[in-house]
Amino acid sequence: MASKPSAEKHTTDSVPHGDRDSHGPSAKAFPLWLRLVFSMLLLVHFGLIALVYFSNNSLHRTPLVDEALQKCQPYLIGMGWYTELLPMSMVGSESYDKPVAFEYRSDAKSRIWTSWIESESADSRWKRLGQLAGALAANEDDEGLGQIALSLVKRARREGIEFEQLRIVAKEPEAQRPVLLYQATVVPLASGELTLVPTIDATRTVPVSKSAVGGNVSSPEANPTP
Amino acid sequence: MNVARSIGELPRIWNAFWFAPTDMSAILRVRQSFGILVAMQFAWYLLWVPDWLSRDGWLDIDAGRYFIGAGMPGTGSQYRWSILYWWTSQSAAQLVCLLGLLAGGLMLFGIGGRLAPLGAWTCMMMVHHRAPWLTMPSEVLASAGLLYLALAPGLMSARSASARSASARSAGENSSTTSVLANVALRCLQVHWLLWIGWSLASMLQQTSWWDGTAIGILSEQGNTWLGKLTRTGWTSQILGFLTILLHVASGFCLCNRKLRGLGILLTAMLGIGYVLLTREALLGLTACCYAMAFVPYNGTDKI
Repeated sequence: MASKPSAEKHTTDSVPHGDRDSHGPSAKAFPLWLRLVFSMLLLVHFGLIALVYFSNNSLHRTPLVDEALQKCQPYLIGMGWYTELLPMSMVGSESYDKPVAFEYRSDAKSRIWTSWIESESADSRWKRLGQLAGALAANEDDEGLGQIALSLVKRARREGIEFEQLRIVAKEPEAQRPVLLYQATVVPLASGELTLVPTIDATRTVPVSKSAVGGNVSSPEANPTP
Repeated sequence: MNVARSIGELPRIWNAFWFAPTDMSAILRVRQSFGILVAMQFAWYLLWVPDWLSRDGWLDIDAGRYFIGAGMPGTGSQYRWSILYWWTSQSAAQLVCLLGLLAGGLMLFGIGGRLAPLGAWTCMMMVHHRAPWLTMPSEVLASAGLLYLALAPGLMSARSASARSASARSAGENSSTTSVLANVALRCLQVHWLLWIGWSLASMLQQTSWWDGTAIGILSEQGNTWLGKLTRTGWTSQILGFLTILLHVASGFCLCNRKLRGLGILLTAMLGIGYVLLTREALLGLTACCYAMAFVPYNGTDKI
């Protein structure tokens, strides 16, 4: 029988105290029990990672995968491995991955909408927010859209921008009119807090101009298609 | 017979792949690369996190809690720990960013051992858990890399490691700067990157938009690319989409092949450049390069 290669012989030598890193004598191989423990942990860890990544993208998930991900939430979510909430692909779903604009009008009776923030020309956070708004609209989650809108309204007030109505529109690349995702009227409560009441505007042509805060002046646009 | 012999070899291969000690200088190089990435990441965080994620931010606490599913069963929101849910001032957010920036600096200079990557990871998680749907792919990869780097012990600097190793070799002793955990950390980085490539490829292959150029067109419409506006099914979009897929395939294949690993590293760097061109995310491109550093050949026992 051929003798074992020297490398293998080296790795089977073990020190009772396991790995001694960096500051002690030269590092020795892990004892067998430690290697087994590490091997199991590595297999479980990378198995879960593969499950998370590939199920994040799949159209259907089996109940078994769902249950596994649910049970491992403390590890996956707590340690930041979970990606279900994240649009991880460079390109998400075309149904909601469109440029989004946030517009407001100072007076609910006014015919003019002012373009406030456009995800197309804004930084990556606004693009992400636009993706989220599109996904919420696709899922008809008005409450989620309302949360975004209310947060923006409160922040706008602190910056001295006051308006009565806010809307979120998505820009179709080949359509003339943007698509209305959400529109609401800002209602101040007796407590001083603000709330939003969703509205649906009648279809009609109204001009749009960019706000001085937002940037350049744009050409008028038709009212978006609800 | 060959199959049986191959199966019999698996434990030896597994053992050599994961548990052979490796020179510390390799992991130190990767750690320093990640230090640059982390420092840039937190410098970027300083520009937007206090503005967005404080109580007066663009996405206030109520919106943040809603989108993690707070109060809804099965969402796992109770595992999203972040000090920014309770300490909601802008100064708290700034402090988290500054601590992360400090940790990145320590990693860059090889100071702080395991604490530096763990500190950077903790600060990154604070931001991630506060607004997970604002997290970019670069942050997902970076946080994973930081945890893996925390497995490996730290040294004062790569220079001292090399000097110590050189003096030990000249004295005829075994190098005192090898570590099994450093090898485990390197392998974790390598495997994680290959999983990422595999997932990205699977994602692109199952969408026809990457085959007919629509994906590139969509990215350009969103203002994401440095390539200007591209038509969805134009020749440029189609070629770029195909090249993106090909780059993923080629880099993954070459990285898995020891003889082609150098080419794989180069292709991974090109993939990083591709990410920057297609998504304008410099940090994603830099993250790809950091992971590529984990594949750079290094002195030590023969590797798989």
